[in-house]
Formats: sequence, C-alpha cells, structure tokens
Amino acid sequence: MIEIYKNELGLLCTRKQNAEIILEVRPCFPWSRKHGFYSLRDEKGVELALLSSVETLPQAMREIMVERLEQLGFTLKILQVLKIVEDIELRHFEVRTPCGVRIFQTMLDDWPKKMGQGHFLITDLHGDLYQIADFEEMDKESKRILEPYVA
Amino acid sequence: MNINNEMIKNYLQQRSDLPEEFYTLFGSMDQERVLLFSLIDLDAELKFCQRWLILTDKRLLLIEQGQDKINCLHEYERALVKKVLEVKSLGLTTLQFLGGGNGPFFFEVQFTHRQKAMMEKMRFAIEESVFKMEMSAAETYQSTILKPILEARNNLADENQDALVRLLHYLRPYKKEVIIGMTAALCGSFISLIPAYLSGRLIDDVVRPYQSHELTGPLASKLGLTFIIGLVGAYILREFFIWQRLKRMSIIGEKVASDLRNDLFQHIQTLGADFFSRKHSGSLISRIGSDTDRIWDFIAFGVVEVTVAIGTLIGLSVVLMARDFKLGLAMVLPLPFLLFAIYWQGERMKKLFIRAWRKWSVVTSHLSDVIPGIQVVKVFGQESREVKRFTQKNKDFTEETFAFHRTWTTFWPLLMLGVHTTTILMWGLATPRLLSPAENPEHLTAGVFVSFLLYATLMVWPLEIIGQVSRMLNRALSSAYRIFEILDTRNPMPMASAIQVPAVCLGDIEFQNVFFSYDKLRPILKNVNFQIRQGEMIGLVGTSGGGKSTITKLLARIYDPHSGIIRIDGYDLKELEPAWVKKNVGMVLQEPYLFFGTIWENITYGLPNAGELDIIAAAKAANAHDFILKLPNGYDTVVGERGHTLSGGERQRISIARAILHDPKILLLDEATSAVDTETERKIQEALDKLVVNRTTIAIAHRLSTLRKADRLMVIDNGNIVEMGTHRELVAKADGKYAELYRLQFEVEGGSLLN
Repeated sequence: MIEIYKNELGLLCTRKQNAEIILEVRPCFPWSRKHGFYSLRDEKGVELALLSSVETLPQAMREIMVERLEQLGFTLKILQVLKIVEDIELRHFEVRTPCGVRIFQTMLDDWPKKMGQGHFLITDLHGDLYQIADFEEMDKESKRILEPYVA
Repeated sequence: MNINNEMIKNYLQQRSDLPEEFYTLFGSMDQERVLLFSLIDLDAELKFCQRWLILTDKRLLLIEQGQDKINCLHEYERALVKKVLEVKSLGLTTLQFLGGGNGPFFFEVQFTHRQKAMMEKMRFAIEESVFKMEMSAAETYQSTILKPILEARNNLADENQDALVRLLHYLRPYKKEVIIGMTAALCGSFISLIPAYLSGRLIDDVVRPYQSHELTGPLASKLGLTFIIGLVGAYILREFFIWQRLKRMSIIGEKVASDLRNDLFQHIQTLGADFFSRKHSGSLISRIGSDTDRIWDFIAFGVVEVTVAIGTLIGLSVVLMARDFKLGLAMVLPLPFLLFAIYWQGERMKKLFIRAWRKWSVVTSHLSDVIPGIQVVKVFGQESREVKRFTQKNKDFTEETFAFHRTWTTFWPLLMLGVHTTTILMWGLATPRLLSPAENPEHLTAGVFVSFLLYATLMVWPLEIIGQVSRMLNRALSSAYRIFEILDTRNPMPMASAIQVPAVCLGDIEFQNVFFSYDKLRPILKNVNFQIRQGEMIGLVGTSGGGKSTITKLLARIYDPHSGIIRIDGYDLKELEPAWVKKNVGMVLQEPYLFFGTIWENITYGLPNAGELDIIAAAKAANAHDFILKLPNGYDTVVGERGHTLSGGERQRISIARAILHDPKILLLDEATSAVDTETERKIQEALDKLVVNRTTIAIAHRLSTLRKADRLMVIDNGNIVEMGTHRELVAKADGKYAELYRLQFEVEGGSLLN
C-alpha cells in the first residue's frame, strides 16, 4: 500500500526508495463517481498508485486524503440567484455563494448543464464552475429567474 | 476611468489595478519595478477576498487591503523563490511557492479560474526568471483578465456601442436613395390616414345630407364620386409610396450588405496569421454570410418600419385629437397600456424563447455529434439507441414550442380584445353624442365617428412593430459587432516606410539575434543566428515545439520577430515588398490545401496565366502527371472541398506542382512528407528532389531520411540552434542532440537512415 503523509512543509507526499516524492491527486471521475478512484501521481505526472477508495486507507492517511479531496472538489455553489441579464453576446449572472456575492458571464448559447435531478453546473467564460445543488430547494425568486435556463 | 477599468469593475466586480496605497508605499522603494501582479480572490477559508500577489524585479509580495492600510502578508526576495507547485482542483487552483529542491516552503495562495491565466504568467516569470516585460503590469493584468470577455463580445468594449451609427454610415453613398425611400415610407404612412378621413367626410357631407334631403340625387352622386375618386387616389398613392419604399430600401439594404461583404473579405486578406489562429473559419464565413444578411434585414425593413410605426402612431394621435379632442383622447390614452402589454408579452416570450432555444441547441448539438460519427454508430449497431435519444430531445423541443405558440396565440386575441375594448369605449362615449341634436355643441357626426372606427384598425400594426424594436436592435447590434470586430482588427505587421523591390532574388538568408514569442511572454526563438547561402539546402531537425516551424513562418513573413533582423539577400525582410516576398518565398505545407476547382486551376493558383506546357512540366516534375491522367477528366478533374476527392499524397504532389510552377527562389518545406505511406513518400521525395535544385531550401522533417540531401543540418532545441553541420559531423558528436535523435530513429526503423 502506498504511504501518504504531509511533510513538515504541509505538502502531500509519499516515499519511494527512501526518497520523498510530492504527490498529486487526480480524481478519475470527479463528477460521476466522486467517492472513489483517485490516481496518485508524482510531479512529472507518472502514476504511482490508483486508489479505488479512501476507505481502504489507515485512519491517518484517510484524514489527509479527505482533506485534499475536499480541496480538489471545491466548486462555487449557488445559494441564490440575484439577477440574470442578457447583453450583446453575453449573459451576466449575479449570484450568492458561500464565498460571497459573485458576478460572472457566460456566452448566450452556453446553457447550464444538467448533472442530475435538479443538479446543474454552469461554466463561466473564465472556466469557473458554479453548481446548483438542487433547483427545487432554491428560494422562489431564484427559481423564477433561473427557470428559463434550467426547466 | 479607461474602458478596461470600467469593464473589470462592472463585469467582474474587482479592481483593475493595485490599491493606490500600495503605489504610495511602493514609490519610496528604491528603483524597484512591478513586473506583474494578480488578484488572489480566495482566502484560506475559501471566502472571496481581495489580496494581491506582486512580482517585482526584486521581490515577491502578497498584500491585502486592510481597513485603513495595506497589510503585507508575505514578502520574499525573488531570488529565493525557485519553484512553484500547482495543485489543480475543479474550481480553484493552489500555488505553493518554494525555494530550491522541495523547500523551503514560503507560502501558498488559492484563487478561482478567473485569475488563472494571470497567475500562470506570474508562475512562468518566476520560474524562468523573467525580468523584462513588454507591457506595464496593469496593462498585462487588465488584458489577461478581460480576454475571455472581450473575445466573447467580439473584442468590442462598451465604448463601441456606436456600432449602429457606424452601420448607418454605410448608407452614406446611397444618401439620395435613402432620403427618397424614407420620404416614401413616411408619405405612405401619412397617406394611410386619408381614407378614414375621406370616409367620414363622405358620410357627413354626402350620405347624411342626401338622406335628409339637403342634397339632390345628382349633386350627391357627383360629390360622392369625388370622394370615391379621392379614396382611389389615396389608396393608389399609398401603394405607390409603399412600392417605392420597399423597392428602394430593399435594394439599399442589399447594397450595404454587399459593401460590408466586400469590405470584410478584402480586410480579411490583409490580416495576419495570428488572427486566423484565433478565429475559426466557420465563424468568419458566418460573419460574411448570415451577419450581413441580418444587416440587410435591419436596413431594408427594420429602420423603416420602426420609423413608419412611430410616425403612424404620432400622426394618428394628432389627427384623432384634431378631429375630436375628447374622443381622440379616449383612443390615445389606452396606447401606453397597450404598449406596456406588448412589452410585457415580449418579456414572457423571451423566457419561453430561451427555453425553446436551449432545447433546440440540444437537438442541433446531438445532430452535429452523431451525423459526422454515423459510421461509428453503424459499426457498433447503435442506430436504434441514437434514434431513441434524438426522438426524446426532439420531443422536448417540440413541447417547448407548444408552450411558445400557446402563449402568443392567446396573447394576440387578448390584445385585439383590448383594442376592441377601446372601440367599445368609443361607442359608449360617442353614442349619446351621436344621438344628441345637431345644434348641441357636443354633437358628434356619424362621419367623424366612422373615421374614428377606421383609425382604430390602423393602430395594431405600429404597436406590434414598436413591441419588437428591442429584439430587432439587439440582433442587428450583435451582427454589427461581429462584423466590426473584423474590420477593426489591424495587421500587426506594419509596412516599412521605404519599400525595397530587388530586381532578382538570389536566395541568401540571414537570421541575426532573432527573438520571437507567440504570446509575448514565452519565448519560442531565443537569439537565433544563422546564415544560409544561395542554393543551399538546410534541414531543420529537433523535437516538437522547439521552434522549427516558427523559423519558416518568420521567413515567409507570416509573423515578424519581436527583436532581431531577418535578411534576404542582405535586405531587411520588413522592408521588402510583401508581394516580392510571396513571389520568392514558397512553402509546401504538411497538409496541403486545394481549393474547390479543377486540378489545373489549383496548380496555376498564384500564376493564372501559366501556359499548358509549363503546367504539365510542373506536374511531371511533381510526379503528379501520371495519376492526373488516370482520372477520367485529367487536368479538368474538379477536386472537392479542400481537395478531399484525392488522397493525401496526391494532394501533396499537386501542391508541389503549384510550388514548382510558382518557381520561388527560397523554398520552405514543412513536414511535406510526414503524413503519407512509404511509397507515396518516395514519389513525393523524388518530386521534392527536383524542386530543390537551384533554390535555397529549408526543410523540416521528423524522418531524418528525408533530409539525406541536405547540405547542412540545424538542430533546434527549446528555441535555440544547438548544433549545426553536415550529417557526418553531427553524428560524430557522440553526446550530441542530433546523434541521439539519429540513434533513436535508427533503433525504431532499423538499418541505415542517411547512408
């Protein structure tokens, strides 16, 4: 089993032939199977191990991995839609997220992608991802504004 | 405030420059320059924040705007930061700044993808020790952060919203026609008001006096006939003016669209390769095609119809109130409500339209995905699955259209009911006055009332047009933006003030201290120096991305170097007439492009007056003559779009024949044989061997065997010429780059490569 630890600098590492290697974690299925199949790679992108589940790891390693996976899975979650305005070639969204209020833009013919029942993903012009976890659970006004784009 | 600052503030809600306090503080620092900076928009708790990572020529700083002062969170000497580690996440990136090896760890920052392009520049500058920037830090930051938005908006910032005015400038050459067309339109709309007036007068001045025996039969008939002739005249005049308006404005629209198409196509020919690498050909074609079509629609009908609609409504209001103020007011007052109803309906329809549009885009993306891949569908027997998927998507779209049609089909009868309500209101107000004695000052004549009823029917059309103004304007503006984006793009390679046109081209080439970068940051060529004598054949070898193709592109003047000089026969390439360069520098590309047309048209492209014998000789030299004659139509065979009716090797040989006929003194061969089988390669190689005679040739090839006739080889690695010499000399360098490449290919292909 691969050894995973944080070195004194706080970097995710493993040890190979007594040498410390900084680890990069790449989820194989970041959307469809969030809770498994992680490729552990070195700095050059060479796969050192394929982890099918963090559950198989010892407690200490699991905690380190869970922390890293939370960081890797971070996306901006839309709690409330304040405004959607259409402009020449652009659609402006003003939304409230757990990180704060954010304005972003999409192309007019880019639509929120349906990821599951009530679950939508919007990618803005800069590549930032905004998730609507459950459309039905949103407030009435947000639903009214969003409805043409997701219903 | 400049336009970039404003866009960053409005669109991204962040600062476009470092806080002013920083510059105040920084001003006291001795001779230190800010090279780059970027916003760090996430803190350790992943909340939005406004921190700035600043790279100067001496330090790397992370600052935060505090309540009343700047807080410096981290500050390191630049020389200490050797390495930047990146942790990619779905929605953020973390950069960790370290010293040499894997430590020491200085600090880490997290930011959203919005800041990523700028942060990548900073990372590159740190790791590659960049100390000189072409642009100021603020300019670099602003252009980088706004790039996706400006590209999406076709590079037109807010200040350019005068696109519509610019568009109208295209009407200038047709001023006279426009004035006639617009006058005809306005005359037509005002004349439309006359029949209702005449009808009222006919009733009041002829019918009623006759019925009350105030007029005799013959006199009434005579007067009636006069009014009827007046009505006929009004209708004929109205239709005449409408005909004039339609005829003139639609032709003007076509002329403007044609002018725009010509301007666009002409301008596209002047643009540099950089522009075409940013824009898909499909997008350019649609700008020349459908966007100019939309402009025609707007000019031919939109501008006039809106003007006429406004003119009609104003005219109607004036006439109605002039004829009978109270009744007129009763008809005019509901107009704002009706307009609001149309606007409200427009907003509802917009939402439904968005839904239908979204579902339609699902249908079209399914089509564009499956139809090109239909062979895969068939091979895997997935026809029924694809039909099922398509049927579902088509059904979703169709259901949306039902909602769309349900809404508008309900609205228009309701709107008409609103108009009819106005008519009923009129009846309600008018009836007591109609029944009152004639001497009553409030008395209303039947004729005036009838004309009011007729005017009511004229109201619907202008209301409808005005309700569509915003949609019409947006469509035209979008198209105008897309067109002006191209027209406003300038070729980044300016012409020299003193143009040189040497009488002959000998073929001497010199690169002197040439630097080049595609993005003005990452250098592709770093101080390249070499000389090639006339008639020499040079092979360029090296790993992909090393800069080989860039050398040929600079020589063909597709791009200009950022610094240094390229000379042909001692003349600076920038000072040579572009047509002279095109004539004397020929290129054979890896993927030859053939235009739709006959084989002989493709061979003579660039030299349309070439004689038949010359064409055949060129084709023979290119080993193309025999396969051409095997085709039933010989040289008259029409090759399809991009030459797809021919094999890759055949297309390549036609492009070589084109180059032979063109007879350039300097020939650039960019992987000309890489995409073909061995036998075809042999035929192409034979053709190339004939082509390179008496020319200066620079050939790029991955297969070193194709460079067996090269006089010298230049090995390019990471933007530098690392080795130069004959094959024998380079192979002899045991630890040389070329020797390594040669050994690798020797092992793969087996046997002798060049001997």
